[in-house]
Amino acid sequence: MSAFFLSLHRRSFQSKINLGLALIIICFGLLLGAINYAVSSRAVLREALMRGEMLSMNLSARSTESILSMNFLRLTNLVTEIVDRDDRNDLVYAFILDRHGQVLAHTFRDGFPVALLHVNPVEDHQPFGMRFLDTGRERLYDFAAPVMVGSTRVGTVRLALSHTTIKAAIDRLMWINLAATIGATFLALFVGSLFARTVTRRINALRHSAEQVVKGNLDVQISPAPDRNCWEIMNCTEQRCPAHEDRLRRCWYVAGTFCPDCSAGNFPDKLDDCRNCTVYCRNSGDEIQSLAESFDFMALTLKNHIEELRRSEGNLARQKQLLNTILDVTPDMVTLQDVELIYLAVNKAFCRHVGREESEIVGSTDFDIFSDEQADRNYHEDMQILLTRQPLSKEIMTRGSKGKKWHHVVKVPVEENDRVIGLLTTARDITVVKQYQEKLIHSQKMEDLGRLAGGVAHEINTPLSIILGYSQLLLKDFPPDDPVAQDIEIIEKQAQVCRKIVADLLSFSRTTEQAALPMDINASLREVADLVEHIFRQNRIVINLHLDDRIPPVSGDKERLKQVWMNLFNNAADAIGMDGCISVTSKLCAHRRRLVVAVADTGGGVDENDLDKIFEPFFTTKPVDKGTGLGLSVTFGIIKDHGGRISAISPVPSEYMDVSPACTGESGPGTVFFVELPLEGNELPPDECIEIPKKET
Amino acid sequence: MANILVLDDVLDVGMMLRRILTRKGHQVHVFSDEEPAFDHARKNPVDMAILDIKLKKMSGVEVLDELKKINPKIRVMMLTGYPTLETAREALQLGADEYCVKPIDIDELEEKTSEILAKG
Repeated sequence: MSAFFLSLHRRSFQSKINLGLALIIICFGLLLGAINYAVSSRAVLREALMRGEMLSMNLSARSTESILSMNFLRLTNLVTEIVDRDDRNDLVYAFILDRHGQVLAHTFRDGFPVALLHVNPVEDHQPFGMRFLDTGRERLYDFAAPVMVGSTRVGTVRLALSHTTIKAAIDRLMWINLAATIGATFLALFVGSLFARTVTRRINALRHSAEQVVKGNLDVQISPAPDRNCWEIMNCTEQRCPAHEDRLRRCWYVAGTFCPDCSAGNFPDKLDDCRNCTVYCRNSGDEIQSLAESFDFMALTLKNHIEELRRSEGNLARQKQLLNTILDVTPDMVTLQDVELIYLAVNKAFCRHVGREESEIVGSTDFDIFSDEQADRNYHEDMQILLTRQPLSKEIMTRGSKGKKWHHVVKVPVEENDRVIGLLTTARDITVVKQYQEKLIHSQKMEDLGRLAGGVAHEINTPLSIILGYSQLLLKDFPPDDPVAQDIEIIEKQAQVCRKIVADLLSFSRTTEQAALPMDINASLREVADLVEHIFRQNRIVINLHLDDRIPPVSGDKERLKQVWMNLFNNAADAIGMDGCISVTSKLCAHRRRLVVAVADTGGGVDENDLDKIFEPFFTTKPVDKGTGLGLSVTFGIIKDHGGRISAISPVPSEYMDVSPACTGESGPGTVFFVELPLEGNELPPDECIEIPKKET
Repeated sequence: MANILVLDDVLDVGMMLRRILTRKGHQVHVFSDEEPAFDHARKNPVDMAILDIKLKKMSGVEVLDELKKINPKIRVMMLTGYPTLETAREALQLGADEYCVKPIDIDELEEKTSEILAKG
């Protein structure tokens, strides 16, 4: 049953209307037919019975005389005549009895059925008697009427009407009724279907439009265009009116129309004023048209709304992209956290720093990203800022896989409407700045040291010269084999050592005064190399020169620069000890504003922590008595006086490794010294020399 | 034998120079102040002066200039613990014969002294 209702429920609206109409018509037709049938069949039956009554009474009256005169022939004629003349053929039989119940005349062809005599008796005072008989072969209405002469009964007439014939008449009536009902039903169905189709067609159009709207097509137009528009009806020439030439919407949907009868409101409210408007009366339609118009208007409004949304969405996306670009391009790390310290936004630099994807970081906290200790520290610091609303600015140092890193961290509480809603953190990598700072401090320290050393050297110089002078004087007074002379000799020897130290210190501290003459750097390098070559050869140390012939003459103190090369070569040789190579390279830097001399050895190298200290006076990695620790500081001082710079890297980068056959043997990590000298002026140009490899930081 | 004037703010240095040079037979007068030295130069014939650059009131170069005014023929050796190119150049321009740096070996001093005196 439910399946039936379900299938009915799924039928189209038109089918439902048709089905409903058919059901109503059939029900009413059947009901009316049934009533009609009942009423008419009863009328037919009553008429038939009245006829039987009339016929029986008539026969009784006509047969009275013949019974009295015993004219049997006439009686026979009477009954035969009445049966034969029956134009309806519904008289089955007729017979006449005398007062004793003897048959006087009958119409039975096959003999009189005696059983009939005793059914349907009729009393004298009754005008007639009627009885329904079922003979087994047929069903009859038996009528009996007494033949009375005054108050004396002379006989009885009986006749019977066939029930079948009456019923046939009734049935005919019923069929006519049924045919009329069916005909009316089909007619109603046809007309109803026409009506349903007009209704459903418009509803279908609405449904189709709704589907289109759902699919995103908002350019739907269901309501038919009016044959005359408002400006045509009103002869309106107001071009600026928003409804003017608007063929998509009826004027009562348009807000702010110029028509004097129009009220200023929006669509549903202004409709009250429109009801008496000529345009409305002409162009408004039935409910479905109103619905269609409303639907069109809705789609149009929706479309405008969506377009506006799209525009603002595009705007937002552009702004977001702009913001993202700015944040991602900046090398500073930028993060935004909410009050629970959950990351809301991070930039690329931060992602690179922590080595995670943005999607991993957003939504998590420091505890998911950093070590527990670090996260805990951050947490307390951040909460402090959120609570006190005091921004924080600090410099932090971290040691990672890439060495020492310095960051300048600024944490600012983000406030909105007097309420803290988050924490903005920016961290800038200031490692380079810090390195420069350290270098500056270092050079300042060297300068101070130089001043100190110079001062000390000068002060010692005079007493030293007196000691030396007197000891030499005394030496002349004693014969050489005298033990006193030997003692004085030792004093003199040690005084000479002091003199060397003082001289070195003075060289290191000297910041002015040099013979600035044009000189060939390569030539001075060759000269010094030739000088030391044969000494180094005793320890199987080879000097390989790779000199750039394009280097122009530079202004410098030839002797002091030679001292620089000498110091560097000696230093390299000391680092090697036995068996090794010293590679000397000179070349112009890319911008041709400075030259660089690199002296690389294959020695044991310098520890990274010592690299910054090797230029300090008295710093030495050599064993006691093997060096004063002044050679490199003197070199430093001389190079500084020339406006240059000296730096060292250990181990030697691959591009400065000597590849000559003599150097392919086993060797240490080595150290390379870079001496940079300006080609013009007394100051290094600001651009970096890309030929010098950077220290691994 | 020469008459030598030594001017050094440190008296001991002068005394030492005197010891060295008198051994060679020279007559040496040691001063630690500029004025007495000038007086001495004016009053006595001085063959040679050994001057320190850094003195109490004046610089050795100024003293050199002054001595040359007093006696243009005077031979001068600059002996300094503060050698600078500028003072060296200046001293040589003003007619100094030698520019030596402290501390100096006795032999070198004797040699240079005799060289200078030999010129005159």
